[in-house]
Amino acid sequence: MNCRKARSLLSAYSKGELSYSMREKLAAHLEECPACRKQEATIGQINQALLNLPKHELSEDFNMRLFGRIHNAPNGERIRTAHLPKKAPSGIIYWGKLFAPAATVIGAMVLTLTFLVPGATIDTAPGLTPVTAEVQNGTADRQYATNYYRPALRGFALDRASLDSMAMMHRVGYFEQLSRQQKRDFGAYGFDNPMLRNVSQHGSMRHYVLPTVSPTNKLIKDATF
Amino acid sequence: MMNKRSKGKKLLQRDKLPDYELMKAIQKGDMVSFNTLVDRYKNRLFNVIVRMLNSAETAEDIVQETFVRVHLHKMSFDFRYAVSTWIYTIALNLARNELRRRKRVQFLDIADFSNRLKAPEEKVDNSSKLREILDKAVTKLPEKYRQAFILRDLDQLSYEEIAQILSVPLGTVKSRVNRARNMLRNMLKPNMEELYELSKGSIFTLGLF
Repeated sequence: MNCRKARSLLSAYSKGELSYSMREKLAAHLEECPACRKQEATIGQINQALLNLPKHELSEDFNMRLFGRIHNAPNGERIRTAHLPKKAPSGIIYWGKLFAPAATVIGAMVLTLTFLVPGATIDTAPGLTPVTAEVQNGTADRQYATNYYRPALRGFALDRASLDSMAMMHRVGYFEQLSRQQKRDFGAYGFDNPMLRNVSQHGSMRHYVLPTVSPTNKLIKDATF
Repeated sequence: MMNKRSKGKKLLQRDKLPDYELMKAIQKGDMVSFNTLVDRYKNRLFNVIVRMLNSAETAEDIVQETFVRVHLHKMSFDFRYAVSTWIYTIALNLARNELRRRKRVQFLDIADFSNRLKAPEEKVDNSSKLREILDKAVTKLPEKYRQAFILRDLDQLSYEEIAQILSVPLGTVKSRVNRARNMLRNMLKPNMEELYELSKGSIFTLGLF
């Protein structure tokens, strides 16, 4: 064994990780090579020093903070969400959005006018209608957005509404009056709708089996057509 | 009846329970067992991650995050594996993400971090000087070698465990550890003489040699 090979094996040797034959060979080399012996001693010291490296301590309130975090964390179970159709924005928001810039301008004008017109009091200054005010400060939008990103809630509301209107319209025979979206949701456009497991028609009766989303599951049990 | 009582007794001394028994209890919602598990691993994990990231604050955050995840995903723990391996895997993945993020951001200097790292005792004697030199040398190792090296030589895990944690073959772990040791030795070569003198003063007098 030469010195280069021996030195590459020295650390493993000092940890007792070498096979028997290797250990023997290395020991034999060490006996006749003082330079390698010196190396071995140094490695031993390094190993010792590594074991004695300062241990870092965690802060004392570690467990408390951890338990606080776990307590406040949302439920670990992953909520299964179905891809329910988007709810169209309601009329007020839709038109409100379109007219928002105009409303802002008008609002600003009204505000400046009220301040410019002598005798006008501050009380009457925001002369905006409730709708435009709502749109302007964005509360209506935000409300819609928050509900939109809570799929369970969204699905629930939508399905119930649709189910109600479906049932009603079926009975009174106004199927044609359903919106396109509603028809699509409930399989009116055929059997290939991935939203629906099974749609079948028996005479004038249509049977709908909605996908397995927990809030709707309950509804399906209750709903009868 | 008898069975119930013995079970109760067993749960009272959670410190003595093996990891998987604790894990079973945790899955049933026992937070005291969880606390025991945290106490069992937090300091080991912390020391490994401090060495990997050179920042005590970030390391503490990562250990916290690790245990939050352990608790969050307790039900998906696979009993075919060791609990320790699982926890280490989570922690090291988080640490690796942090390193990756740092590489992307690249506004911090390593020297900056090591300055922030405070050793518990600040005595300036020979042994602390020796440690300082070693500490610096360890931080200079390339990442993948450092990981294997820290787990093996500082945390004393077995090669098999390290292979599972890092999800690399056993042979690779062995060669990485060996490579890291040799790198460390070469890095310390310039300091070798100094180290030799220092260690004469510290370790030799301790009677270790």
